[in-house]
Amino acid sequence: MTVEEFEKFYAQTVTRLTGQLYVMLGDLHEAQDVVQEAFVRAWRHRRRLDRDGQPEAWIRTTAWRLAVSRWRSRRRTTEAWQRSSAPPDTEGPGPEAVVLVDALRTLPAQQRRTMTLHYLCDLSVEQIAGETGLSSGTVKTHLFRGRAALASRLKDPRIEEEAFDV
Amino acid sequence: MSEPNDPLRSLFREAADRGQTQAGLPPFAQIAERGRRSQRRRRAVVTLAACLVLGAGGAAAVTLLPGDPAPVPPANTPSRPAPSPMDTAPPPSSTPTNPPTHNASTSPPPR
Repeated sequence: MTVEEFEKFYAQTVTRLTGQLYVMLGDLHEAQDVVQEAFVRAWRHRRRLDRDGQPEAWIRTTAWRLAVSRWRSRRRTTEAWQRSSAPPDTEGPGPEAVVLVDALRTLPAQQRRTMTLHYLCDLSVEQIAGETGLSSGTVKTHLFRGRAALASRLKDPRIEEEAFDV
Repeated sequence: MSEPNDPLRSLFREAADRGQTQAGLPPFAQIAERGRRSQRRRRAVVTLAACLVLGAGGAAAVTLLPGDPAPVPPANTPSRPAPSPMDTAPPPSSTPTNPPTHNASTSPPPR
């Protein structure tokens, strides 16, 4: 990928990827941070980034791993967690917009990721398994349980009805 | 798995759209500059590590490997032995290559 191609790729995908990571992580500030950092890392590997034909998936996976790594370090340092969970200069979406995001926050991280990849990125079970490294059975279980949990938290009967169709 | 008009799918899209509209994204030039800086830093670290490894290896080799032994001087200066008459005679040889020359000045006449 040349510099021009990389710039085009950035312009086309950065907004979409930030939205996806926001839903996965539940924190807009953090989503912006990890997506930017993933693009910075992708810059180093840009010559071989499109070799496997999935540069967007590479960025998404790298951003997710960065976020997981931050969670782990925050767990060790409570002060750091408090600092980064309350960013001073970036406002997140208003309370009416975060009903789903709030409900997603109550789910385990891997379940949240699987749900987002399926319902937002439109990936199939096999594609999710390929991106996350989980087995297809585990992906299906995450989707089934995640949907059931969201249905009960969002109190939406339509979601509940389809929970058993996954 | 799920229908395209699935209400849950709509909720996910709506949440992502809200996040996208509120996200302040940096211009590409900023990302590229950070990428270049990170690349330079990485190269510097790799070069430094290589220099350290080579330097340490060289120092270890000089210290541990045995070099050429220095010439050992004699314990004391050898004294020159006093000349003896035997020294002037040639060493005995069973098959002399040259016939002995009878010189009056150096050897006594045969009896």
